[in-house]
Amino acid sequence: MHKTRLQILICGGTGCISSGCLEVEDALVAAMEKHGIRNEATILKVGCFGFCEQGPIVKIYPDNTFYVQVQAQDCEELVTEHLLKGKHVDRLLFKSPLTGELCHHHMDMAFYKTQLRIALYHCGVVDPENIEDYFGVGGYEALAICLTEHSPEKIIEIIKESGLRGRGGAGFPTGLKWEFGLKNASDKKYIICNADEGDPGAFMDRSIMEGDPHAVLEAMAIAARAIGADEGVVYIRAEYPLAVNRLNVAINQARKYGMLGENIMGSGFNFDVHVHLGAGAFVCGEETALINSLEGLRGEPRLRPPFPAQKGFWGQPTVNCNVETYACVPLIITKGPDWFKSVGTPKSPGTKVFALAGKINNVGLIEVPMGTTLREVIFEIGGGIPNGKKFKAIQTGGPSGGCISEKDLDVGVDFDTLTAIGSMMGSGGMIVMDEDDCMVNIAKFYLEFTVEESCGKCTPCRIGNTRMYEILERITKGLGKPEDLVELRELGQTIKDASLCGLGNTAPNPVLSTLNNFMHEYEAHVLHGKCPAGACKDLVNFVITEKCIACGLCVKVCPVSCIHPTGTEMPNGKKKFVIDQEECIKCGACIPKCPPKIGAIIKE
Amino acid sequence: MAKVNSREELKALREKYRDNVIMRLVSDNAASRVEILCVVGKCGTEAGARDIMKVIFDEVNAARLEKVSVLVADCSYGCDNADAPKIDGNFACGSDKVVDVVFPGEAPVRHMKVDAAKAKEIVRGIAARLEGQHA
Amino acid sequence: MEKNEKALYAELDAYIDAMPTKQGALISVLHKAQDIFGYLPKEVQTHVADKLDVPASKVYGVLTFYSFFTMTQKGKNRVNVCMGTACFVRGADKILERFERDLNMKANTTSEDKLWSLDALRCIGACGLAPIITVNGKSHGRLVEDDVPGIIASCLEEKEGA
Repeated sequence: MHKTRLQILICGGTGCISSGCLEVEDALVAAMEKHGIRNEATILKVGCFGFCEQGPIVKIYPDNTFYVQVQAQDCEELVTEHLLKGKHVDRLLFKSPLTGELCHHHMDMAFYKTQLRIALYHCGVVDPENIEDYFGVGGYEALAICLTEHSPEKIIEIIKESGLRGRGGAGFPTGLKWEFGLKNASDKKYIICNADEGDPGAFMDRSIMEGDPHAVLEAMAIAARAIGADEGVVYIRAEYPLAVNRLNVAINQARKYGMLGENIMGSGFNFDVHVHLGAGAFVCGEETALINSLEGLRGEPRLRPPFPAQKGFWGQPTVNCNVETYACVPLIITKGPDWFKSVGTPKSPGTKVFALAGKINNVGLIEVPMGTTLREVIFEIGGGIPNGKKFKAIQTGGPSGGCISEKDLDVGVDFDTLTAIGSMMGSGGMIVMDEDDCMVNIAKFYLEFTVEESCGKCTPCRIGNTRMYEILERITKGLGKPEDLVELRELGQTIKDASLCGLGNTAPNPVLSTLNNFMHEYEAHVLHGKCPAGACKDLVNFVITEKCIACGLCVKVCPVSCIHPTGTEMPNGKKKFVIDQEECIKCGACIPKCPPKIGAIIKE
Repeated sequence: MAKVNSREELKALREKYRDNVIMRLVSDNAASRVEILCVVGKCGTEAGARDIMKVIFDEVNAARLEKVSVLVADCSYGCDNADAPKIDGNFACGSDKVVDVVFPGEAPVRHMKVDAAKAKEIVRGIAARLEGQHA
Repeated sequence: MEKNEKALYAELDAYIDAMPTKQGALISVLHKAQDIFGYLPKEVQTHVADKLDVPASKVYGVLTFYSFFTMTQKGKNRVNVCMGTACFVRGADKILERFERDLNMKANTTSEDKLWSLDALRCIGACGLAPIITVNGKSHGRLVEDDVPGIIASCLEEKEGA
């Protein structure tokens, strides 16, 4: 049965690798060898546990202890205390910031309590580089059912019945998409997996591919069986080397066991998958642009119709879904559509994975039932805003989404509610902003991204967004005029209506939503020449107040030497410092240098 | 490795590799877990408590007791404590091996002087009780 | 040098010749070419065009469309500052500015002595460590501005030591 008494799981996602999990693995092996108990434990690198803020994470079974922020130098103590004596190493346990209690199990943490994993079901449980683990948890059983029990029509009926909607952005019903794929007759059809996760701040698809690649492959095979395709492509960002590698390992293992290839499980059904590297173009998340890119062309969107289900890759019927959508499919088949529907909201069943980041205590990857409120996500799972700052906005949907303010925090999140409040689901990035973030500047940040990523094919998107960007640039420099605010709205609406593809249709959302929810900030910039958050450099001056004690710490760090002793003379004869506003580049380096109890340097 | 040629063969793979992952699947549910705590303080270890633990673990494996975890515990007596229980004039843990069995929600049952034969007996006892619960 | 370059072209040709079909292969070939040469200068572009029997203008059109491809040689030290939203709201812009100042160069350029390349990058997805940068492939997370001089110094030391 168990090969070893203990199993030690180390989070091997990109986040934890960046924080040093590979060194932890080496140190753990070395310490166990030193104490002669290497044979007592199996060490596995698994997919993302989600709590990236606390990485690297080490989980020890069977007592299921969850250690956080483990560094290589901690491993000796982990071995001598936990493995040798069975004692918890308290200093490596997560301490609840609210109660101060130590959490031994992950379910003790507020971060995990309300989460429910469907797309991430086996992520952090199975070894992603070992298909045997996936077999062990019942992997490829759903495909076997689809090959032996279900007709293509029946598979599509199940997916339609489950109410599964595309997790890549627009939320189109997946079953319907597959039905179109089946009905368009052809002797060659394709299945595509869109893994070109380009939203800044979104990493859910990458985590699924790194943590549970076989679930995606299995689902692609099921989709292929449903529409009658025999070839699949995963279009993945070249910037995700670990995910690419794990996917390739998984494909090779699946071929060896005959889960991909010819005559799968003796059923006569053939299907194989290969990986295609993207090359860094956000617009390729749009399915027709993605297909152009697959064909070796510039990734510009095509006119629709014809839709890909009619004429897609190489002109053949093609079904394209995103990674997270596929990841839900095997469980829907094995557990049934009713089980899936029992989670979430009537119109958006199931769960959604979000990448929670920005000004939030618990940055990480979370999966919650649709309908969970933003307030729960931010203040319970996310643990609130760091450093006692005040919440200002949450941005969902990346560059296509909008900024949601305090007043809408009690909305339960699903595809339709987010659209109704001027944002969108997008792929599921959630960025939290606090009082120090200027919403005009944030809108400009997103628009800069869109302007750079616009493919240039249609005019509203190419020129309209550039004009909007110029206006925002003016406003953040204090040169905005009241009529600019009207023009921003008009331009934004026109671009939404007239653009060719989803990128242009949604590009103005960050601007329009901030105009709706944070008009007062725009007005402060335009009417009063002030940036309330103090983020727009041209509208802020750094000033040294009378609190200055002439210690000179700020002078040392000023990169342009613009702080001079030319102020009021003090009793000891020294003169207080003054910042020369002409020379100041507003880098802000001086502020943290001023001792907090003095606090003489302020922004105004 | 041979290719899978039928659903039955896939099922066989699942059975075969379930053992790899079962520890991770059942451990989340602490409420149904039976723990065998092997006391491995300094003197216990010197007396071979870790070898006994190995015997217990192998026995649990052989009986495929999925809900049973074999854990270690530090010496609970503290050998400098003069009041610690003694057997034949030696501290309990040092003179022989101590094993606690904990069923969920119950007080631990302590077994002392555990040798290989007794270790197997303890596991058989747990297996029989779990069998009884199922029946 | 001449011979060395020949070997590089031979490696690229071998890759192209081994492809089952040249249909739609352009982007994969450009990936490989950039792997081999480090960047995609005009000579490599025309070579690829000849090999795949497509106009050079198409090769140029495709490679300029995608941000992953570059036509300029990168510096010895490659600093990539993640400018994803999570990093941005946690002060990545200040980190980038500090690098610009301390290295006396603009973002998305390579220094004349070819010692440094400084690039603003799209999200690398390690938002838990924001703001994060990668220097010669190694990541440094939860940065503050004052970490920058130390990172620059350690790069210079390593190169001298090598």
